[in-house]
Amino acid sequence: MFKKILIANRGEIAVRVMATCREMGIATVAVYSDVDAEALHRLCADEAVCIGRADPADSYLNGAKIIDAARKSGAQAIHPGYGFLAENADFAQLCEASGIVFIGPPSTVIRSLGDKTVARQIMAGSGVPVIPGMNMPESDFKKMAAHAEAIGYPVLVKAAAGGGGKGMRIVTEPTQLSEALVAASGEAAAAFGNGAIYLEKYIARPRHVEIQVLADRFGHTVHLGERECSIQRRHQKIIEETPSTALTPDLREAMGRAAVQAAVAAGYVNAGTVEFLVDEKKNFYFLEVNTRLQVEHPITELVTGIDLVRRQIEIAAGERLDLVQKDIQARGHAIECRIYAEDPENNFMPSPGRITLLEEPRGPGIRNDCGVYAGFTVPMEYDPVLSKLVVHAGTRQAAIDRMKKALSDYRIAGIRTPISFLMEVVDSAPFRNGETFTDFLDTHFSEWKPAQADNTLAALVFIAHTMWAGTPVASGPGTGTGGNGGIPSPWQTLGHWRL
Amino acid sequence: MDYRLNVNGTVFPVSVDHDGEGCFSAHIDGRVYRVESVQAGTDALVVSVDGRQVRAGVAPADSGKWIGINGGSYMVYDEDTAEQKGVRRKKGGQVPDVVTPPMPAVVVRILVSMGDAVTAGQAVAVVSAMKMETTLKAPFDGVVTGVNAAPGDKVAPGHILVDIEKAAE
Repeated sequence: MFKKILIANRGEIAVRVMATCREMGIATVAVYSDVDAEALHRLCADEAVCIGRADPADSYLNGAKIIDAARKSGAQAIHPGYGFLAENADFAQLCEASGIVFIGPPSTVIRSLGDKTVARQIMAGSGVPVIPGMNMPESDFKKMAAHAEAIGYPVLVKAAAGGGGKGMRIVTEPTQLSEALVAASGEAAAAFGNGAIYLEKYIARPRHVEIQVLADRFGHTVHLGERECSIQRRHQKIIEETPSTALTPDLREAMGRAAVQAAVAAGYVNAGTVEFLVDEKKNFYFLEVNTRLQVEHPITELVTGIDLVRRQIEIAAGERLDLVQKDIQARGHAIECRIYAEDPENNFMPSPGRITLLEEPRGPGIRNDCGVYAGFTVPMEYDPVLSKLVVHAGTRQAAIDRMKKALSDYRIAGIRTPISFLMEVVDSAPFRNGETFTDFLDTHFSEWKPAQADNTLAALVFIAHTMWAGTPVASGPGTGTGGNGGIPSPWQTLGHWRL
Repeated sequence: MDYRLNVNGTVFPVSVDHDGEGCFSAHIDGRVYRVESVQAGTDALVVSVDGRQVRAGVAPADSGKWIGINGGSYMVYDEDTAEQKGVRRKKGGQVPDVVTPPMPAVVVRILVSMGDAVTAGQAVAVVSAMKMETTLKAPFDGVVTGVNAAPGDKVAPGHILVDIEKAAE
């Protein structure tokens, strides 16, 4: 087993990976950029190395500097977390060439699955259902138009190197095709440095359901059930749960088998996620493979009792996976809400800044994977995930109740978060009924405005705190007079109150 | 005494009467709330509002307090105090009349140069915060009289990136 692992990431995921390393008796090395000198992941590690400036290209995306930090600190392996270099085949290859173990699949597998058309070829060739469409990128308009006719409108234009909804366009009729192809290709070129595009049949009102797989290097592959990830905003998941309300036991088994088949076909090793779309008739289609630990991995850990990071490390160290498919049982229901630094009253725009107050929810069945603390300034340069609040309970309704309670116990100030929005989403009738489709937020919450209910309460708390605990809001003569000038404020007349 | 409390951009006139030690009645929008102190710390307190206990987190802010209740986060300050301290507040929903970022951000691109004529709504700068880009637009027709930021600069709300002199009506 490794003695020391470098975690090439920041925030909550770096902290979470370190927790398992410590349980396993493995020393941890953090890397950080200059704006992250006081970040939680840097403080939690056994050793920490500053690798550059805030700009990710100079630090968290700089493979050479990270390898150098691993060498100097004597780390034998690198865990990439998610994002940054986690799905970068060149970085994985650089690790391999440097004699450092990359905790993830081989670079060749990352490379082939990273190209969506190559991934489609692999899956179609091994009998995994794929969305009807093209298996090669195409740049000739006439050929594209012919493909679109053959697939049948509406079609979806997608980027071969795609992700996050970039370079994606829905085309409902032939007259729109040319414009959509140009726009999608341009967007893909700007985002991924690769303008290659292809067409797929557009699946109306799908659900996004993914299957967790684990594979060791001896060819033993198992799946750990599904995660339902349909609640998304701007193509970013915000709430995930398992099990999915859309799956029957038969469908779950069929999708699990398909995911294992997909992993085997790709020569997959380590933890991975096979994403599928499920249509309204409960047909499922391969979407892509995420060759890393997913953000939402904790819900699978809670229902299966399996620590995915531990398994990743064991597999990377060359151990055999001792899990047998029939022994993997999911118990109860788990839900995750992503707590972003964003302002629900300002169109969910990013809200970086100093956290002045942080009280995390706790209690039975509550887990909060958190990467920040009170007093920390959330930098503007990186992803806005502050924490992931995860709950586990016996049934779906009990899990929703537990999530609602946990959210309402979450007290954070100094920056904005969508906690009150999430509370309304999980408690809404369509969510409680399990009507989780990818258009959920657009359908049910596009007109959402923050409830005014607690504004009055906040005003009352302000007054109470001013009187009884905090620094008075008004200071000096003539202040705090409002509409009745000259009357002294209560703290002036009554002094400091104690109970 | 009276307050004019701004809670997340909405102003509430509040009139407070003392009902003895540890108690007050607050009149808001024609309703009376009876508030009792249960426990008051510096960063959290429990009050009873009309007999129902509420736990709130409190943290100081520039000119007011951040208050966390039931998962929500509220910026509360006294309008009168804020005015005296010369704190200028943007009113919710108002279109800004200057080119300034809505949140702390890094400048990605400046799209205009000194002397350029711009029209209302024209993109003049792009800023990025937390991997999301936001385009800042000219608030009115005019001429660029100053460019105060360059790509890579860290900027904050109130920092005017591009000066635009309004065209004569």
